[in-house]
Amino acid sequence: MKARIFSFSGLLMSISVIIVFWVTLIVTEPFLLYYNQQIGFSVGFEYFKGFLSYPGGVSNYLADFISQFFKFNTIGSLLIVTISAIQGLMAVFLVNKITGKNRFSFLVFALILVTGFVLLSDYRYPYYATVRLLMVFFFVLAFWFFKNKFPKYTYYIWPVLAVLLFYIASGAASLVFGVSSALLIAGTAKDKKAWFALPVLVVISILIPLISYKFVFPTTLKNLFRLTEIKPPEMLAYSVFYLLFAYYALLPVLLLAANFFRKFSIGGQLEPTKLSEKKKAKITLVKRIPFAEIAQFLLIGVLGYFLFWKSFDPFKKKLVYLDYYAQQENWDEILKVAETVQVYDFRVNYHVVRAYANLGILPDKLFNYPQLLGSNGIFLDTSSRNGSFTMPISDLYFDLGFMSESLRWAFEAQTLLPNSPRILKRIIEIYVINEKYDLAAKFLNVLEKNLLYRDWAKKYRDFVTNPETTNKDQKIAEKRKFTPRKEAVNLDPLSNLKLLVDTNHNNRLAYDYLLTVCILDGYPNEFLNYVSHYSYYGIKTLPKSWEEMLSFLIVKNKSVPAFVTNETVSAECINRLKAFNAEMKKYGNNMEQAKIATRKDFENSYWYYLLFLNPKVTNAFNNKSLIK
Amino acid sequence: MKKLVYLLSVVFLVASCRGDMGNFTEVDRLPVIFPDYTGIVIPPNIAPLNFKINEPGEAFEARIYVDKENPVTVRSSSASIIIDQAKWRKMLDAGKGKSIYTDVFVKQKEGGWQKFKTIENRISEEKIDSHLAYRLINTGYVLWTNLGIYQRNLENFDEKPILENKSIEYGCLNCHSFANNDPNKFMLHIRAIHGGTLISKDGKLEKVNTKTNYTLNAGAYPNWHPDGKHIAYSVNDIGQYFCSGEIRIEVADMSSDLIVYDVEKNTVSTSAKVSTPNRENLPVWSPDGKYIYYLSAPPVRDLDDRINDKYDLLRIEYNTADNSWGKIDTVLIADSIGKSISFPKVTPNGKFLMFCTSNNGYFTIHHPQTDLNLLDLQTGKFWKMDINSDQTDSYHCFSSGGHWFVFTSKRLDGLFSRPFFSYLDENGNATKPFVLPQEDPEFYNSFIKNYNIPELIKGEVPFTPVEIRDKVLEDAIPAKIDPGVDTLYMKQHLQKKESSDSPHV
Repeated sequence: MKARIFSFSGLLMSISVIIVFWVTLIVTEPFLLYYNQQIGFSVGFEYFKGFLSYPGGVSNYLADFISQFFKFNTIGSLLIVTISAIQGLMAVFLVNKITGKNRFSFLVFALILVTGFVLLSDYRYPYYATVRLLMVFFFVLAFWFFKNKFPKYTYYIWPVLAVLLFYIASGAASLVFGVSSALLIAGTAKDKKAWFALPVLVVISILIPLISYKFVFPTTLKNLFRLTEIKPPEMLAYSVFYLLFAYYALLPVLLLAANFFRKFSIGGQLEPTKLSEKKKAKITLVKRIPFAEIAQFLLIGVLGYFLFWKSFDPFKKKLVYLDYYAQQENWDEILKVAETVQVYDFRVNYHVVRAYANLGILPDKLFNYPQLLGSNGIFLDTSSRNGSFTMPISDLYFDLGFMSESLRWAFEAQTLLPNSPRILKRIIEIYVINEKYDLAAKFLNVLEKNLLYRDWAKKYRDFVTNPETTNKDQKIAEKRKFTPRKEAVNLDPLSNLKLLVDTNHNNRLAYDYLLTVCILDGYPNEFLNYVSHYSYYGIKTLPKSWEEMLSFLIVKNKSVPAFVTNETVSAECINRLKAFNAEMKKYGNNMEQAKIATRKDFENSYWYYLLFLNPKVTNAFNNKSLIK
Repeated sequence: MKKLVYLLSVVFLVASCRGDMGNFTEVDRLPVIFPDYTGIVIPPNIAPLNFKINEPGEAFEARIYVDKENPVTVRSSSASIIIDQAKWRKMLDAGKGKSIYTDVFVKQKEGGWQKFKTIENRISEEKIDSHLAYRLINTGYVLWTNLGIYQRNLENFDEKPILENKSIEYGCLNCHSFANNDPNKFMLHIRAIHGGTLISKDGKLEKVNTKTNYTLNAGAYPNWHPDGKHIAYSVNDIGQYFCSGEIRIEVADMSSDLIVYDVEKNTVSTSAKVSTPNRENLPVWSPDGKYIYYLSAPPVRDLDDRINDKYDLLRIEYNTADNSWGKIDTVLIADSIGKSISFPKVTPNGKFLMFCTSNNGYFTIHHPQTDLNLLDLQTGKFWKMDINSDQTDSYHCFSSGGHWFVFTSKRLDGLFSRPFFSYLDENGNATKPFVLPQEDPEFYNSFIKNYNIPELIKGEVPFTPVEIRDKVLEDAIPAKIDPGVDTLYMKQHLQKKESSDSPHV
């Protein structure tokens, strides 16, 4: 009978593992966490050495090792579920040591499994928090083993394990270990005095980090006790969520519950064989029906759904996806994802414009996305939060062929994430483009220590070994032609773009961006100057945003520039401008009414932007309600 | 049987490894080795100069000796030559003032051994200070995460942190400076988080805020008076400008003045003579402590001025007894040499002044054309030193003995700054520089941090990182203005500077 119940719990555990694996694989998608955090694990002692100098470093190292495989969605999902399942099984084992065989094994297992998995729905979640807790489970288990094997030495073994665990997994872990091991001592002892171990071990668990802070490790006290370390960069800064506290509290809470269970359910008796025949019969009767297990399964299902629903933010996932697709230069997918975002977001704005530009449709589609921030929505380097977007900024300048700015931002990024493969790759590419092969080789030496990028590194190693082959690479050759060689201060996006276009007129992407900045920030003279060269690009009739601004300037200045022909501005554009003017006249000075009235037909036009969406009009930088 | 085969294989391998190379052919050139440790002078207390032989081959041997009969031999199947530290030490101790030779042998894949021309280096009589303090930073210019100030024992390969910023919630650390190469007397700045200046004084640490209501800013670029009781600082309004072209970044000041911080009295002194509309910068004491050498550039009118102006070299008398400022002399005019002057440092014997020259500005580390120069303070004659490369050769610091000096150079790759050492003789001739030796000769091929502000010190800093952290986490004690300062003038001076500030410059 016991075996049957056990099997049923086992079956439910297996089902829950499959469900969690499936949700992780399909919904959470660990590869997004990998790309968002730019995890870079390196082989070799030099990399490992850096983790040895502070408590918790060893766990962080292990976490880096494990989470690098999140790059592969299936393997990542498997790892996440396996580690959470191992934690769950260890918890079941430990609880059973206190209660004897019970019917709550599934609940114990699934609580840990589900919590561990839900935490990963935040793409900034530092996986070392899970690994540190895994260490706690191992150490509690080890403690139980030593306690049984060498009972006389229990109180000698414990401090050794506590100190070791503190070094491996830091202060929060040692505190959980202290409480859990004390509860294990109390729960398996016959003498009630064993409960005194709880306050004693808790105090020692707190003292270990305190003493180490005072005399050994030059770290901050906060970081010794926190579940996650406070460390820049902002984009990876994980705000500790109640669920993480719950995750760390689960083992002690379950062990405490097991103690209560032992006390109240079986009268504090450890050996089931000592139960009275009457009680035995009652328990057996209940055990015949797997109702309790089914109820646990349903409870966990509801709880898991609720926690996931509360924790998982589909919008944030979309933002991660946008950056991921941008890394992959998958512009169509960016636009598809952006279409599903219903609110304005400057990050979406940035990626959408970049996608338009790379697809060659920016001048036509510019106002299909509301440009609420003017050029600040398409160049994030001017933002006070630019530290969180170093690589997207580097990417854009790379697209544009501006190697010095791209390199500058890649180095800022590399300062924050020294081993990020994405950043190292960018730096290598730039040095190959700049024909600084020694420097490219130096960064290749670093990247080659990452097991997952050896193929990519090989391609570039070949470039470094045989520089003449680089000329055959279309991308490298094009960037070399576009990058400015002139000594100049890179003051702002406008002057940067002018420099790019002046360096090489064939840099169409830079030309499109330049005119876009002129349009968004209102530089009519620069616009007229540069748009006059449109025919150089084989254009007969200007694309939408250009012709809309040009038509506006013609009306405003009451003069037609010399470069304008009959074909430059389409008849449709002129008719639309007339219609817009007519509509506006109806409302006189009532701009609010005019805005509402023109929205339907003109929302995607330059004129609508100029009058209603332009940050100079909306005061968007001081009005945060406009910007998510 | 298997065991026998295994045993025989082992015996064969051992025999092969230890086998005499027999005949070899001689190659009439020096071997290519990295780092380049050929034709150099080395201190008798330097760590082993491990190197990699960049010659094709399948086995490598180096015989290093002062006395040919007793070589230290390293044979390896890899090209890295790792020298036994104890044997190296013994050899250097015995070889002070003599030449030290290295014979390099390479076994060709198909063929026998080749011997290259013998590398001859010289061991100086004079030791170099035993430790080097530096900051290790990434190549980012605005952002930072992990950075720290470290001390490396030059006699071996031990590197220890003096303070890492992860100890202090990732604040920024910079501009460490020591008095007379003394590890007991040092200062360093902390910025952004837990800001202030940490100063070790009489075996104790103090954290002060050198910003006063009458001075432009807190002290920035420091230099200790030889008495170990005063620190000269420039106070700067600094900006960064990113560029296209060969120079990737310009660091330039809107304005700057000089101050002297009295460590014992916790007071800041300045004067109308060094708080002018001009940009006074990078003060450094003469070894007798009577003068402060410093830079000066004209006031800023526009961005072009700010970046491209050249700095002259001046000096001013200073009396530490009453913190009074004296007469100003012009030492070297930038226009007369067509270069901007930066980082002046006087040799401990007071005979020479070493300085950097660049095309513009004072922040030379980002200028590939930066070179080291020597000025004979007795004759006024100056010259560009032979040790320069076609890449940046910048910030320098003398060992307490006065002959050895360290400087920062980007000559290995044009990007990363590395510490190089050279010996300066009585006549101002410097020997071929060599890079800081590392246990792994390939270290510099994959180390992607910069050595910033290398400072030679006579021993290990006596404070632990825990002690330093505890002091940094305390509040800074505000410095007071010295009673001798003309506060009315300083108020007006600061107001003028504020009103001339414009976003365009």
